Amino acid sequence: MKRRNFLKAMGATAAGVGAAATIGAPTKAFARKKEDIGECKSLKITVLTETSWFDNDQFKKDIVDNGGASTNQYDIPWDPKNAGGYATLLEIEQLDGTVNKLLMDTGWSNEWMDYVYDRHGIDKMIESGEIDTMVLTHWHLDHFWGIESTLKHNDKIKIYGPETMYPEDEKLLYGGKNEAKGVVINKNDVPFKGELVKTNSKQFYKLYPGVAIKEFDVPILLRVRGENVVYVNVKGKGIVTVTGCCHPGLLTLYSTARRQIKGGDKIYGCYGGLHISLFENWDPKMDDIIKGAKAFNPVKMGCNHCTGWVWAENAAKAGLPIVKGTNEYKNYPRQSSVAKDTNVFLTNGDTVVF
Amino acid sequence: MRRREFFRDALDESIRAAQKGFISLQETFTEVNDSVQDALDDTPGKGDFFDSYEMSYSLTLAYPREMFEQMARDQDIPYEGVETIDIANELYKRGVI
Repeated sequence: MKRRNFLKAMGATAAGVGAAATIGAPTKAFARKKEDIGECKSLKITVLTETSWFDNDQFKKDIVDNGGASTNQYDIPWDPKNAGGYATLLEIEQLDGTVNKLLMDTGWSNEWMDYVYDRHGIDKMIESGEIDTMVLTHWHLDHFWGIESTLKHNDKIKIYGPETMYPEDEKLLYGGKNEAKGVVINKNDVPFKGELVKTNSKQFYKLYPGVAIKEFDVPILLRVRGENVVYVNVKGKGIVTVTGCCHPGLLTLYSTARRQIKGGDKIYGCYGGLHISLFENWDPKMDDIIKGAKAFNPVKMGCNHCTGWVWAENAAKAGLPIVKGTNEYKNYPRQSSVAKDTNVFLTNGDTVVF
Repeated sequence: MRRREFFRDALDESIRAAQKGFISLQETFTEVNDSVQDALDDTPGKGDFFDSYEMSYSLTLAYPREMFEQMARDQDIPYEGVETIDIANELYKRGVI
């Protein structure tokens, strides 16, 4: 019997003998200690780029041809023409009207990221200090290898990254290049000179009122471990999770909010990659994720990147509040090979307000 | 020490000891309560990563099965007729992922 079932049975027995009234309904003194991350007025998300790569088949081929999914990402000579990147702008409006701007991730290809930053004026926001902090969700190539595009506008930007970094990550961050099979796969000519806050899973890192980072130490393929998730508590609405890839799993994030964050029993929504049907593969078990998400009664779900269009379409059909995107992404010079007219993804250039 | 002070100190000591005991008891109750509350509350998304597909889908469902078979072959892990979650768990235990 699993721990959960065992405890369920124990709880039922306790109720049978009349003890559940005291054990199952905690008094305030005995209630679980929850983290107070404060509240903000609203959160606006701008999808700078969610097309980490443009051709799914090529990305998969690069992995399979070079030893499979357990291969170190730094040992794969990735097709450079397929590189895009993932990055998001968060604008958090405080209760007093102040707006904090936060960058999440820095993409993969420097060429692509330079274009994206210029298109959205992110380069100027970083230079002026309007954006002075970046949350690196995890050390995967499509979220981190474009670091030079950020650092060339401010090499002292404050970075929060999972503590599970490898020497190759460090080499790239502090100015260097990496090669795989004789091919240069990334480079950074602007050494990082700012503060790197190495996050661990033991605590919440509070950035602004209503905004905190939580690291989840989970296994991820291509020799990466751990992901930072941004929790935002919107006053009167509830918790929004903002993710790069959501490797810990959406249900885990929601459950963590419910169990560990003050006000976390009210889930408002999510934004980001959800890492479900990454290669547009479908498994009936994915229906359980739809059912699981429904149990939290989210109001707005903005998804893209590694979520899988097939899952987002099925989730929308099943009644989950998937926020539809626009055709703005078609004005970018390149598009993903799996983009569809169903617009169930918030794609490049889209915005959503929570 | 006067008799009155002796009793006052003893009382203080007793109160402090009782307070410590109560705090310890409260912590124990909180832990028990949390566990029972977890069990009674049917919230999805609790437990260990490899407990279920619900918990581990980002790894076990997100990638095609053949990728896990490729990793299992490389490690001499039997995979025919074995659930993907069990292959992934074995790979994790061996430090492959």
